[in-house]
Amino acid sequence: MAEVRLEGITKSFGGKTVVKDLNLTVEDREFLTLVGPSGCGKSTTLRMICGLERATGGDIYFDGKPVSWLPANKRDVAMVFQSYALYPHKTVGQNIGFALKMMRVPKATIAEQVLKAARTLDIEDLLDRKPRELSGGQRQRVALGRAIVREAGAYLLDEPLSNLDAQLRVLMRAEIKRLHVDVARTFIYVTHDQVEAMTMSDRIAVMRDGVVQQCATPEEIYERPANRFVASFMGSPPMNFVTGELQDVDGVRMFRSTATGAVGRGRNQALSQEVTLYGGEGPADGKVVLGVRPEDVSLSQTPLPGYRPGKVFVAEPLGPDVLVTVRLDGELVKARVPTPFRLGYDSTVHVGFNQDRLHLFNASDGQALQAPTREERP
Amino acid sequence: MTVKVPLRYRIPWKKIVLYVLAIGFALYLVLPFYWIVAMSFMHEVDAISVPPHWIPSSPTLENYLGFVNPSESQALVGGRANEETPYSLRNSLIVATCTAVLNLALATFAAYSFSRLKFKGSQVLLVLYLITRMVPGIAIIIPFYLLMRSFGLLDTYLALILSYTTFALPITIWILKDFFRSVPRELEEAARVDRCGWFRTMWSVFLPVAAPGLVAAGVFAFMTAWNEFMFALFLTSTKAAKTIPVVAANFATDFNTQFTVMAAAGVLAVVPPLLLALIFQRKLVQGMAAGSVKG
Ligand SMILES: Nc1ncnc2c1ncn2[C@@H]1O[C@H](COP(=O)(O)OP(=O)(O)OP(=O)(O)O)[C@@H](O)[C@H]1O
Ligand SMILES: [Mg+2]
Repeated sequence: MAEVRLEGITKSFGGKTVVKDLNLTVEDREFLTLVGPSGCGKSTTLRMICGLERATGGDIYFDGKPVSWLPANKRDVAMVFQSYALYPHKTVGQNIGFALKMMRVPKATIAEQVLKAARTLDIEDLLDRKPRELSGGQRQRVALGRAIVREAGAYLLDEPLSNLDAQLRVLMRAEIKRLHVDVARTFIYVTHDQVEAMTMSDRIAVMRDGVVQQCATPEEIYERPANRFVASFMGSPPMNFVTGELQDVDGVRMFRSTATGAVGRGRNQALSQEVTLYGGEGPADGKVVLGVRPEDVSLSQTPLPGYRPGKVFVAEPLGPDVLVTVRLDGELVKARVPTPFRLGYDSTVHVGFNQDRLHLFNASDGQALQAPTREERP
Repeated sequence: MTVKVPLRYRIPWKKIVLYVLAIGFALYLVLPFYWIVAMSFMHEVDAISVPPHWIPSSPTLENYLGFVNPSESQALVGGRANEETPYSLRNSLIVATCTAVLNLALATFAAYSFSRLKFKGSQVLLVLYLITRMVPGIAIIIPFYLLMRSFGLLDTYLALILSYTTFALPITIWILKDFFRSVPRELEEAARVDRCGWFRTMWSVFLPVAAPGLVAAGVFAFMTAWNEFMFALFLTSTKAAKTIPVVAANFATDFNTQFTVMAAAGVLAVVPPLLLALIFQRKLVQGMAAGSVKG
């Protein structure tokens, strides 16, 4: 029941600024994910929201009310810690009910609420155990239970799945997503796992070095990354990048790769691709980076118009798909193609890029120059 | 028929040596203690016989009963020490308990600050605490004596408690500081988010989690006070405040002393610390392990 708004939040430790001028509004009942590489300031941001850390500059508002000066116990938030931080001397039941006890909820009500939360998380039969007698996944659930057992304006989750094995992680991912719908509250979720971010969120804020690079829906982030960093961070396997430059050839905007292998063999050997630019003329020096996701790369055994020959470098079966790496004009390009893929290593294969789904970035600052989604085209 | 020795059988020398050493060491520790316990139940004649009787031939409680109600012969020889033993036990208990409690109270605050706050000079201060322990007691006993005399504290519990606290506090702070550092900060943060104020966070989360460390530190302070001799000798003079080490020494200086009575006093002196160790054994081992893994 709370909208969380950060206005110009800055945080420095000593002389080092770890969060810079962060502006972010999390809508009521939204599931917002902060994602980014290790050390980019995600946890710090979360800790400022819940009041464990005081911002160096800027203000935080819950439902329009400033809370920057309230200590953690006076803010209306619940938090799941990355390390779980379960109270080792208390039983699971006491762990979950602790906050309610502090809020002077009557004993009977506490017992009831704890049981309800435990049921949701499927840990009813663990209520009398101590944290040290639990597995990682069970501890995880207790940590979640401690948060969801009570009413709070916002629920903050700091990499709650990072300590779990892959299988359990997938399971819990779905459970948390479902939980969000069931409890219908504001969730702010921190992770460095882009799959978690993509699968769970209403919106994603991608951070790097304390700066939010882009804050948008998962689709938007995936389809229209604001810059090269977002493009490479979100998506697995990551987007292919080919450096090159823009040229006008017979009035058509063409991208030509400047890969080392290509230059020596002459211009017409280099990867060239028709591209369309939006929002300006592109960089003055014409130097750009072309981005294409592996699933937008197609392979053909026979030459097709617009396809360029390359050599199979390696093929990695993923089950339904095969991830094929092709050496193309001296660059390695990954293609995700349906199983089966039968070409041997080093055999010739023809590579085509899906014209509608190309990304173009300024080579110097990495800003996106082209929007790939067809609907957005004029 | 020949018995085949299995090919891979080897005499486990390593094990044998280890066991011999372990048993030898255990005997070295336990035998003197056993001897004093056995002796405390013997008649004087048995105790001084050569070769010694390891098991009392006719066990008696006479030595213990003598503390409460000295028989004529006991009253005659070494009667003072005899009479003072029960009082000194009481004094020692009070002094050691108060020292432990006072120490814990002060050291908890100090150690918490050292473990959680960064402030200028904290390292210097910690080292300084240790340095105060490098000064031999004999160097400061006279100033202490004069100080206590001018405060009119001679022969009181307070004199002993205050002096013992100054000895034990630096070490207690170090023990607790290391232990507190091993308590994850997130526990306190979780408590804050769970709506605890600072005091509540300490009381309901931090201190219970740190309990093994507190017990270890408390036992340490108790033992320091229980064993201390020199200051007690200087600062006390009557049964109002004399502690058990001082009275035990009186037995030794009294050359009429019966060994069996002395042994009984010795046993009594060991009982409280022993009980303490037994009661807190589990917490203590936990505390020592937890403190040593992470520094
Ligand atoms: N108390 C502190 N004192 C000094 N520097 C800190 C402190 N807390 C965090 N930092 C620094 O701030 C930066 C951001 O830390 P933060 O924990 O927010 O990263 P993160 O994005 O959560 O990373 P991770 O994914 O590894 O958890 C890091 O470079 C870290 O070293
Ligand atoms: Mg973090």
